[in-house]
Amino acid sequence: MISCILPPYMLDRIAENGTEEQRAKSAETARISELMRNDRQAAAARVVIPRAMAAPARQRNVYTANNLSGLPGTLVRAEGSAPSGDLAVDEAYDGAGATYDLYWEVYQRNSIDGAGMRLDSTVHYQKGYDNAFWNGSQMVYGDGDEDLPPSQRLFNRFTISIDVIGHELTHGVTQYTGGLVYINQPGALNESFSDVFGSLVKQRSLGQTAAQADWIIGQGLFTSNVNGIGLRSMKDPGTAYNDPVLGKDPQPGHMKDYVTTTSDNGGVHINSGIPNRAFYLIASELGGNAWEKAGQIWYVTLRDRIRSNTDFQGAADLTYAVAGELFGAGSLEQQAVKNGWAGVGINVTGGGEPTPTPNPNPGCVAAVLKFLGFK
Amino acid sequence: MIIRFERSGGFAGMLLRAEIDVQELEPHEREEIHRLVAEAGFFELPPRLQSAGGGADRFQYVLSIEEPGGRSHTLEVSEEAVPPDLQPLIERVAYLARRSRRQSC
Ligand SMILES: [Zn+2]
Repeated sequence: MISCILPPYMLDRIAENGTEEQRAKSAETARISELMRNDRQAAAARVVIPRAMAAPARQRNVYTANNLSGLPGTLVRAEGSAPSGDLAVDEAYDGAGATYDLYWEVYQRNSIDGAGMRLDSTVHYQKGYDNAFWNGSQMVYGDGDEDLPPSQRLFNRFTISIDVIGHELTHGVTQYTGGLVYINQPGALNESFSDVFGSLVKQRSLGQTAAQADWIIGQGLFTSNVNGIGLRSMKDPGTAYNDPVLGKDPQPGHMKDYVTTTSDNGGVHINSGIPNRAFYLIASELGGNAWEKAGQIWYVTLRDRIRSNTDFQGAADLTYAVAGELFGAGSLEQQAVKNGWAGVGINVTGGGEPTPTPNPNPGCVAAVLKFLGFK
Repeated sequence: MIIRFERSGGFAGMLLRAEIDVQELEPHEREEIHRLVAEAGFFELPPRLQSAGGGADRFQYVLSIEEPGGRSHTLEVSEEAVPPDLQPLIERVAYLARRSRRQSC
Protein backbone atom coordinates (compact mmCIF):
# COMPACT_ATOMS: atom_id res chain seq x y z
CA MET A 1 0.00 0.00 0.00
CA ILE A 2 1.19 3.48 -0.76
CA SER A 3 0.04 5.98 1.77
CA CYS A 4 1.15 9.56 1.73
CA ILE A 5 0.08 13.15 1.39
CA LEU A 6 -0.05 14.85 -1.99
CA PRO A 7 0.01 18.64 -2.16
CA PRO A 8 -2.73 20.33 -4.21
CA TYR A 9 -0.51 21.28 -7.15
CA MET A 10 0.27 17.63 -7.63
CA LEU A 11 -3.39 16.71 -7.52
CA ASP A 12 -3.94 19.30 -10.25
CA ARG A 13 -1.21 17.74 -12.30
CA ILE A 14 -2.66 14.27 -12.03
CA ALA A 15 -6.26 15.29 -12.62
CA GLU A 16 -5.59 17.67 -15.49
CA ASN A 17 -2.54 16.31 -17.25
CA GLY A 18 -3.05 12.60 -16.94
CA THR A 19 -3.44 10.65 -20.16
CA GLU A 20 -6.45 8.43 -20.68
CA GLU A 21 -4.23 5.45 -20.00
CA GLN A 22 -3.00 6.90 -16.78
CA ARG A 23 -6.51 7.75 -15.72
CA ALA A 24 -7.69 4.28 -16.58
CA LYS A 25 -4.82 2.70 -14.76
CA SER A 26 -6.17 3.41 -11.38
CA ALA A 27 -9.48 4.26 -9.89
CA GLU A 28 -7.43 6.25 -7.47
CA THR A 29 -6.96 8.94 -10.08
CA ALA A 30 -10.71 9.45 -10.15
CA ARG A 31 -10.80 9.54 -6.41
CA ILE A 32 -8.14 12.24 -6.43
CA SER A 33 -10.26 14.32 -8.81
CA GLU A 34 -13.23 13.86 -6.54
CA LEU A 35 -11.18 14.92 -3.56
CA MET A 36 -10.24 18.06 -5.43
CA ARG A 37 -13.81 18.90 -6.36
CA ASN A 38 -14.98 18.41 -2.81
CA ASP A 39 -12.18 20.16 -1.06
CA ARG A 40 -10.30 22.53 -3.30
CA GLN A 41 -8.88 24.42 -0.36
CA ALA A 42 -7.48 21.39 1.40
CA ALA A 43 -3.82 21.77 2.05
CA ALA A 44 -3.33 18.13 1.24
CA ALA A 45 -5.17 14.89 0.72
CA ARG A 46 -4.27 11.44 1.82
CA VAL A 47 -3.87 9.06 -1.07
CA VAL A 48 -4.09 5.39 -0.36
CA ILE A 49 -3.53 2.94 -3.16
CA PRO A 50 -4.86 -0.49 -2.28
CA ARG A 51 -2.27 -3.18 -1.82
CA ALA A 52 -3.72 -5.37 -4.52
CA MET A 53 -3.05 -2.78 -7.20
CA ALA A 54 0.67 -2.66 -6.61
CA ALA A 55 1.39 -6.28 -7.39
CA PRO A 56 3.80 -7.40 -4.68
CA ALA A 57 6.82 -9.28 -5.89
CA ARG A 58 10.43 -9.36 -4.90
CA GLN A 59 12.63 -7.81 -7.55
CA ARG A 60 16.32 -8.14 -6.82
CA ASN A 61 19.39 -7.44 -8.90
CA VAL A 62 22.87 -8.10 -7.56
CA TYR A 63 25.84 -6.56 -9.35
CA THR A 64 29.59 -6.76 -8.91
CA ALA A 65 31.78 -3.66 -9.01
CA ASN A 66 34.74 -5.95 -9.80
CA ASN A 67 36.71 -4.16 -7.04
CA LEU A 68 36.30 -0.82 -8.83
CA SER A 69 34.12 2.21 -7.99
CA GLY A 70 31.57 2.19 -10.81
CA LEU A 71 27.92 1.66 -9.82
CA PRO A 72 25.95 -0.43 -10.24
CA GLY A 73 28.62 -2.50 -12.04
CA THR A 74 28.02 -5.80 -13.84
CA LEU A 75 24.80 -7.73 -13.22
CA VAL A 76 25.58 -11.15 -11.72
CA ARG A 77 22.28 -12.38 -10.36
CA ALA A 78 18.79 -11.22 -11.30
CA GLU A 79 15.52 -12.16 -9.59
CA GLY A 80 14.74 -15.84 -9.86
CA SER A 81 18.11 -16.95 -11.15
CA ALA A 82 20.11 -19.70 -9.47
CA PRO A 83 22.77 -19.04 -6.81
CA SER A 84 25.89 -17.63 -8.42
CA GLY A 85 28.41 -19.43 -6.23
CA ASP A 86 29.89 -16.04 -5.30
CA LEU A 87 29.32 -15.83 -1.54
CA ALA A 88 28.89 -12.04 -1.38
CA VAL A 89 26.49 -12.02 -4.34
CA ASP A 90 24.32 -14.74 -2.86
CA GLU A 91 24.32 -13.22 0.62
CA ALA A 92 23.26 -9.84 -0.81
CA TYR A 93 20.49 -11.57 -2.78
CA ASP A 94 19.20 -13.63 0.14
CA GLY A 95 19.50 -10.78 2.64
CA ALA A 96 17.57 -8.40 0.38
CA GLY A 97 14.92 -11.14 0.05
CA ALA A 98 14.61 -11.63 3.80
CA THR A 99 14.34 -7.85 4.27
CA TYR A 100 11.71 -7.54 1.55
CA ASP A 101 9.77 -10.35 3.25
CA LEU A 102 9.82 -8.65 6.66
CA TYR A 103 8.48 -5.43 5.19
CA TRP A 104 5.88 -7.14 3.02
CA GLU A 105 4.70 -10.04 5.14
CA VAL A 106 4.68 -8.25 8.49
CA TYR A 107 4.12 -4.58 7.63
CA GLN A 108 2.44 -4.88 4.19
CA ARG A 109 5.03 -2.57 2.68
CA ASN A 110 5.90 -3.42 -0.92
CA SER A 111 9.63 -2.71 -1.08
CA ILE A 112 11.66 0.40 -0.28
CA ASP A 113 9.31 2.91 -1.90
CA GLY A 114 6.11 1.05 -1.04
CA ALA A 115 5.54 0.60 -4.77
CA GLY A 116 7.58 -2.48 -5.61
CA MET A 117 10.89 -0.76 -6.36
CA ARG A 118 13.60 -3.17 -7.53
CA LEU A 119 16.23 -3.83 -4.86
CA ASP A 120 19.64 -3.22 -6.37
CA SER A 121 22.79 -4.31 -4.56
CA THR A 122 26.44 -4.08 -5.59
CA VAL A 123 29.13 -6.23 -3.98
CA HIS A 124 32.94 -6.30 -4.32
CA TYR A 125 33.00 -2.50 -4.20
CA GLN A 126 36.55 -1.15 -4.50
CA LYS A 127 39.51 -2.89 -2.85
CA GLY A 128 39.93 -3.12 0.91
CA TYR A 129 36.62 -1.34 1.39
CA ASP A 130 35.54 -1.99 4.97
CA ASN A 131 32.09 -0.49 4.68
CA ALA A 132 28.55 -0.82 3.37
CA PHE A 133 26.32 2.08 2.37
CA TRP A 134 23.09 3.25 0.78
CA ASN A 135 23.76 5.78 -1.98
CA GLY A 136 20.21 7.10 -2.30
CA SER A 137 19.09 4.46 -4.79
CA GLN A 138 20.93 1.21 -4.07
CA MET A 139 22.89 -0.82 -1.52
CA VAL A 140 26.67 -1.22 -1.78
CA TYR A 141 28.98 -3.65 0.04
CA GLY A 142 32.75 -3.89 0.38
CA ASP A 143 34.84 -7.01 0.98
CA GLY A 144 36.49 -5.74 4.19
CA ASP A 145 40.27 -5.94 4.51
CA GLU A 146 40.69 -8.64 1.87
CA ASP A 147 43.72 -6.80 0.44
CA LEU A 148 45.74 -7.10 3.68
CA PRO A 149 47.59 -10.22 4.89
CA PRO A 150 45.24 -12.40 7.00
CA SER A 151 47.06 -11.53 10.23
CA GLN A 152 46.33 -7.82 9.70
CA ARG A 153 42.69 -8.07 8.67
CA LEU A 154 40.07 -6.59 10.99
CA PHE A 155 36.95 -6.73 8.79
CA ASN A 156 35.30 -9.50 6.81
CA ARG A 157 32.99 -8.90 3.85
CA PHE A 158 30.02 -6.71 4.81
CA THR A 159 27.35 -9.06 3.45
CA ILE A 160 28.33 -11.64 6.08
CA SER A 161 25.81 -10.23 8.54
CA ILE A 162 22.16 -10.20 7.43
CA ASP A 163 21.33 -7.27 9.72
CA VAL A 164 23.79 -5.11 7.75
CA ILE A 165 21.69 -5.79 4.66
CA GLY A 166 18.45 -4.99 6.51
CA HIS A 167 20.13 -1.87 7.86
CA GLU A 168 21.12 -0.55 4.41
CA LEU A 169 17.77 -1.33 2.83
CA THR A 170 16.00 0.42 5.70
CA HIS A 171 17.94 3.61 4.90
CA GLY A 172 15.97 3.47 1.65
CA VAL A 173 12.68 3.02 3.50
CA THR A 174 13.49 5.99 5.74
CA GLN A 175 14.35 8.07 2.68
CA TYR A 176 10.89 7.34 1.26
CA THR A 177 9.02 7.85 4.54
CA GLY A 178 10.22 9.85 7.55
CA GLY A 179 13.09 11.39 5.56
CA LEU A 180 15.21 11.95 8.69
CA VAL A 181 18.11 14.29 7.91
CA TYR A 182 21.47 12.62 8.41
CA ILE A 183 22.87 14.76 11.20
CA ASN A 184 22.74 14.98 14.99
CA GLN A 185 19.65 13.49 16.68
CA PRO A 186 17.54 13.05 13.53
CA GLY A 187 20.57 11.34 11.96
CA ALA A 188 21.05 9.09 14.98
CA LEU A 189 17.35 8.19 14.76
CA ASN A 190 17.84 7.43 11.06
CA GLU A 191 20.69 5.11 12.05
CA SER A 192 18.64 3.57 14.83
CA PHE A 193 15.67 2.75 12.60
CA SER A 194 18.15 0.98 10.30
CA ASP A 195 19.63 -0.99 13.20
CA VAL A 196 16.17 -1.85 14.55
CA PHE A 197 14.79 -3.24 11.30
CA GLY A 198 18.16 -4.79 10.42
CA SER A 199 18.07 -6.68 13.69
CA LEU A 200 14.41 -7.63 13.15
CA VAL A 201 15.32 -9.13 9.76
CA LYS A 202 17.91 -11.26 11.51
CA GLN A 203 15.65 -12.23 14.40
CA ARG A 204 12.81 -13.21 12.08
CA SER A 205 15.08 -15.19 9.78
CA LEU A 206 16.37 -17.12 12.81
CA GLY A 207 12.93 -17.44 14.40
CA GLN A 208 14.16 -15.80 17.60
CA THR A 209 12.06 -14.09 20.26
CA ALA A 210 13.23 -10.85 21.86
CA ALA A 211 14.61 -12.87 24.75
CA GLN A 212 16.51 -15.26 22.46
CA ALA A 213 18.03 -12.62 20.16
CA ASP A 214 21.60 -11.37 20.65
CA TRP A 215 20.66 -7.79 19.61
CA ILE A 216 24.13 -7.44 18.05
CA ILE A 217 24.62 -5.43 14.86
CA GLY A 218 27.30 -6.81 12.56
CA GLN A 219 28.02 -10.12 14.23
CA GLY A 220 30.66 -11.88 12.12
CA LEU A 221 31.99 -8.66 10.58
CA PHE A 222 35.16 -8.71 12.69
CA THR A 223 37.90 -11.22 11.96
CA SER A 224 39.35 -13.28 14.80
CA ASN A 225 42.06 -10.60 15.12
CA VAL A 226 39.55 -8.32 16.85
CA ASN A 227 38.32 -8.59 20.40
CA GLY A 228 34.61 -8.02 19.84
CA ILE A 229 31.38 -9.77 18.93
CA GLY A 230 30.08 -7.13 16.54
CA LEU A 231 29.87 -3.42 15.85
CA ARG A 232 27.03 -2.42 18.13
CA SER A 233 24.92 -3.91 20.90
CA MET A 234 21.33 -2.71 21.05
CA LYS A 235 20.89 -4.49 24.36
CA ASP A 236 23.98 -3.05 26.01
CA PRO A 237 25.42 -0.19 23.93
CA GLY A 238 29.14 0.35 24.47
CA THR A 239 29.99 -3.33 24.99
CA ALA A 240 30.20 -4.74 21.44
CA TYR A 241 34.00 -4.52 21.20
CA ASN A 242 37.03 -3.53 23.20
CA ASP A 243 40.18 -3.96 21.17
CA PRO A 244 43.77 -2.69 21.34
CA VAL A 245 43.65 -1.51 17.71
CA LEU A 246 40.04 -0.39 17.31
CA GLY A 247 39.52 0.89 20.83
CA LYS A 248 36.29 0.52 22.76
CA ASP A 249 32.73 0.64 21.45
CA PRO A 250 31.80 4.33 22.05
CA GLN A 251 28.00 3.97 22.05
CA PRO A 252 25.98 5.41 24.94
CA GLY A 253 22.82 3.65 26.13
CA HIS A 254 21.41 6.56 28.12
CA MET A 255 20.89 10.29 27.60
CA LYS A 256 23.27 11.12 30.44
CA ASP A 257 26.09 9.73 28.27
CA TYR A 258 24.99 11.45 25.02
CA VAL A 259 28.08 12.20 22.91
CA THR A 260 28.46 15.69 21.47
CA THR A 261 30.79 15.63 18.47
CA THR A 262 31.10 17.05 14.98
CA SER A 263 32.61 13.82 13.66
CA ASP A 264 30.39 11.22 11.93
CA ASN A 265 27.72 13.84 11.13
CA GLY A 266 27.35 14.60 14.81
CA GLY A 267 27.83 11.03 16.00
CA VAL A 268 24.94 9.42 14.12
CA HIS A 269 26.50 5.95 14.55
CA ILE A 270 27.29 6.67 18.20
CA ASN A 271 24.16 8.18 19.75
CA SER A 272 21.95 5.70 17.88
CA GLY A 273 22.74 3.48 20.89
CA ILE A 274 20.17 5.44 22.92
CA PRO A 275 17.06 4.81 20.76
CA ASN A 276 18.43 1.32 19.97
CA ARG A 277 18.34 0.43 23.65
CA ALA A 278 14.89 2.01 24.07
CA PHE A 279 13.61 -0.35 21.38
CA TYR A 280 15.32 -3.31 22.99
CA LEU A 281 13.76 -2.48 26.38
CA ILE A 282 10.28 -2.14 24.87
CA ALA A 283 10.53 -5.37 22.86
CA SER A 284 11.83 -7.22 25.91
CA GLU A 285 9.06 -5.95 28.16
CA LEU A 286 6.45 -7.03 25.60
CA GLY A 287 8.09 -10.40 25.05
CA GLY A 288 7.56 -12.72 22.09
CA ASN A 289 8.70 -11.78 18.61
CA ALA A 290 10.09 -8.25 18.53
CA TRP A 291 8.95 -7.64 14.95
CA GLU A 292 5.30 -8.08 15.89
CA LYS A 293 4.28 -5.45 18.45
CA ALA A 294 7.38 -3.31 19.02
CA GLY A 295 8.31 -3.52 15.31
CA GLN A 296 4.78 -2.55 14.27
CA ILE A 297 4.84 0.52 16.53
CA TRP A 298 8.23 1.55 15.14
CA TYR A 299 7.20 0.94 11.53
CA VAL A 300 3.94 2.89 11.70
CA THR A 301 5.75 5.74 13.46
CA LEU A 302 8.42 5.86 10.76
CA ARG A 303 5.87 5.63 7.95
CA ASP A 304 3.33 8.15 9.21
CA ARG A 305 4.71 10.38 11.93
CA ILE A 306 8.44 10.88 11.75
CA ARG A 307 9.51 14.13 10.09
CA SER A 308 12.89 15.10 8.69
CA ASN A 309 13.90 16.90 11.90
CA THR A 310 12.35 14.65 14.55
CA ASP A 311 14.62 14.33 17.59
CA PHE A 312 14.79 11.67 20.34
CA GLN A 313 12.09 13.34 22.44
CA GLY A 314 9.88 13.62 19.37
CA ALA A 315 10.39 9.96 18.50
CA ALA A 316 9.52 8.97 22.07
CA ASP A 317 6.32 11.02 22.00
CA LEU A 318 5.35 9.73 18.54
CA THR A 319 5.95 6.05 19.30
CA TYR A 320 3.92 6.49 22.48
CA ALA A 321 1.05 8.04 20.53
CA VAL A 322 1.19 5.32 17.87
CA ALA A 323 1.24 2.56 20.50
CA GLY A 324 -1.92 4.09 21.96
CA GLU A 325 -3.62 4.13 18.58
CA LEU A 326 -2.61 0.59 17.67
CA PHE A 327 -3.14 -1.11 21.02
CA GLY A 328 -5.28 1.29 23.04
CA ALA A 329 -4.61 4.20 25.37
CA GLY A 330 -3.17 2.92 28.60
CA SER A 331 -2.55 -0.53 27.09
CA LEU A 332 0.38 -2.66 28.22
CA GLU A 333 2.01 -1.91 24.87
CA GLN A 334 1.73 1.83 25.35
CA GLN A 335 3.03 1.51 28.89
CA ALA A 336 6.01 -0.52 27.64
CA VAL A 337 6.89 2.25 25.19
CA LYS A 338 6.85 4.79 28.02
CA ASN A 339 9.00 2.54 30.20
CA GLY A 340 11.49 1.82 27.43
CA TRP A 341 12.17 5.47 26.74
CA ALA A 342 12.33 6.22 30.46
CA GLY A 343 15.01 3.52 30.66
CA VAL A 344 17.28 5.61 28.46
CA GLY A 345 16.48 8.88 30.23
CA ILE A 346 13.67 10.20 28.03
CA ASN A 347 10.28 10.88 29.59
CA VAL A 348 7.38 10.75 27.19
CA THR A 349 5.49 14.04 27.17
CA GLY A 350 1.95 14.80 26.07
CA GLY A 351 -1.05 12.54 26.32
CA GLY A 352 -0.08 10.61 23.23
CA GLU A 353 -2.82 12.27 21.19
CA PRO A 354 -2.69 11.81 17.44
CA THR A 355 -0.90 14.61 15.63
CA PRO A 356 -2.15 14.31 12.05
CA THR A 357 0.12 16.74 10.27
CA PRO A 358 0.76 16.20 6.57
CA ASN A 359 3.87 14.34 5.57
CA PRO A 360 5.37 16.32 2.69
CA ASN A 361 7.89 13.59 1.94
CA PRO A 362 8.93 13.86 -1.71
CA GLY A 363 9.99 10.23 -1.93
CA CYS A 364 6.51 9.03 -1.09
CA VAL A 365 4.93 11.44 -3.53
CA ALA A 366 7.34 10.25 -6.21
CA ALA A 367 6.32 6.67 -5.51
CA VAL A 368 2.63 7.53 -5.95
CA LEU A 369 3.33 9.39 -9.17
CA LYS A 370 5.41 6.50 -10.44
CA PHE A 371 2.63 4.09 -9.62
CA LEU A 372 0.14 6.22 -11.49
CA GLY A 373 2.43 6.27 -14.49
CA PHE A 374 3.77 9.81 -14.25
CA LYS A 375 7.43 10.47 -14.73
CA MET B 1 56.34 14.51 2.25
CA ILE B 2 54.01 14.01 5.21
CA ILE B 3 50.43 12.79 4.72
CA ARG B 4 47.87 13.06 7.48
CA PHE B 5 44.72 11.08 6.90
CA GLU B 6 41.51 10.89 8.85
CA ARG B 7 38.46 8.85 7.91
CA SER B 8 35.25 9.05 9.93
CA GLY B 9 31.67 7.86 9.48
CA GLY B 10 30.80 4.71 7.59
CA PHE B 11 28.61 1.86 8.80
CA ALA B 12 30.97 1.19 11.70
CA GLY B 13 31.27 4.86 12.66
CA MET B 14 34.93 4.33 13.58
CA LEU B 15 37.75 6.80 13.20
CA LEU B 16 40.73 5.70 11.09
CA ARG B 17 43.67 8.02 11.46
CA ALA B 18 47.25 7.86 10.20
CA GLU B 19 50.31 10.01 9.71
CA ILE B 20 52.46 8.74 6.89
CA ASP B 21 56.03 9.85 6.29
CA VAL B 22 56.28 9.10 2.60
CA GLN B 23 60.10 9.02 2.72
CA GLU B 24 59.88 5.96 4.96
CA LEU B 25 57.85 3.95 2.44
CA GLU B 26 59.37 1.41 0.07
CA PRO B 27 60.69 3.14 -3.07
CA HIS B 28 57.93 1.81 -5.33
CA GLU B 29 55.25 2.88 -2.84
CA ARG B 30 56.87 6.30 -2.48
CA GLU B 31 56.91 6.82 -6.22
CA GLU B 32 53.29 5.72 -6.50
CA ILE B 33 52.18 8.22 -3.86
CA HIS B 34 54.04 11.08 -5.58
CA ARG B 35 52.41 10.11 -8.88
CA LEU B 36 48.90 9.87 -7.37
CA VAL B 37 49.27 13.25 -5.61
CA ALA B 38 50.26 14.82 -8.93
CA GLU B 39 47.48 13.08 -10.90
CA ALA B 40 44.89 14.20 -8.32
CA GLY B 41 45.99 17.83 -8.73
CA PHE B 42 45.79 17.76 -4.95
CA PHE B 43 47.27 21.20 -4.27
CA GLU B 44 44.81 22.82 -6.67
CA LEU B 45 41.72 21.30 -5.03
CA PRO B 46 39.53 23.53 -2.84
CA PRO B 47 39.71 23.02 0.95
CA ARG B 48 36.25 21.51 1.11
CA LEU B 49 34.29 19.28 -1.26
CA GLN B 50 30.74 18.32 -0.36
CA SER B 51 27.92 16.83 -2.33
CA ALA B 52 24.19 17.29 -1.89
CA GLY B 53 23.75 13.62 -2.72
CA GLY B 54 21.67 11.62 -0.27
CA GLY B 55 22.49 8.24 1.12
CA ALA B 56 23.84 6.99 4.42
CA ASP B 57 26.88 5.32 5.98
CA ARG B 58 29.33 7.13 3.70
CA PHE B 59 32.84 8.06 4.82
CA GLN B 60 34.16 11.57 5.40
CA TYR B 61 37.84 12.24 4.79
CA VAL B 62 40.32 14.86 5.90
CA LEU B 63 43.56 14.67 3.94
CA SER B 64 46.56 16.92 4.60
CA ILE B 65 49.74 16.83 2.55
CA GLU B 66 52.90 18.73 3.40
CA GLU B 67 55.80 18.88 1.00
CA PRO B 68 59.25 19.35 2.55
CA GLY B 69 59.93 23.09 2.60
CA GLY B 70 57.13 23.61 0.12
CA ARG B 71 53.43 23.56 -0.34
CA SER B 72 50.90 22.21 2.06
CA HIS B 73 47.18 21.72 1.66
CA THR B 74 44.29 20.28 3.65
CA LEU B 75 41.19 18.86 2.00
CA GLU B 76 37.95 17.90 3.69
CA VAL B 77 35.86 15.75 1.38
CA SER B 78 32.80 13.57 1.74
CA GLU B 79 33.08 10.22 0.01
CA GLU B 80 30.37 10.86 -2.56
CA ALA B 81 32.08 14.11 -3.57
CA VAL B 82 35.53 12.60 -4.23
CA PRO B 83 36.57 13.58 -7.78
CA PRO B 84 37.55 10.61 -10.00
CA ASP B 85 41.15 11.86 -10.24
CA LEU B 86 41.45 11.91 -6.45
CA GLN B 87 39.90 8.48 -5.87
CA PRO B 88 43.08 6.43 -6.44
CA LEU B 89 45.04 8.56 -3.95
CA ILE B 90 42.31 8.23 -1.29
CA GLU B 91 42.20 4.47 -1.78
CA ARG B 92 45.97 4.16 -1.57
CA VAL B 93 46.28 6.29 1.56
CA ALA B 94 43.37 4.43 3.19
CA TYR B 95 45.22 1.20 2.43
CA LEU B 96 48.41 2.47 4.08
CA ALA B 97 46.37 3.66 7.07
CA ARG B 98 44.59 0.32 7.45
CA ARG B 99 47.90 -1.51 7.10
CA SER B 100 49.65 0.63 9.69
CA ARG B 101 46.97 0.40 12.36
CA ARG B 102 47.79 -3.22 13.09
CA GLN B 103 51.56 -2.76 12.73
CA SER B 104 51.78 0.27 15.00
CA CYS B 105 50.15 -1.65 17.79
ZN1 LIG C 1 23.45 3.34 8.48
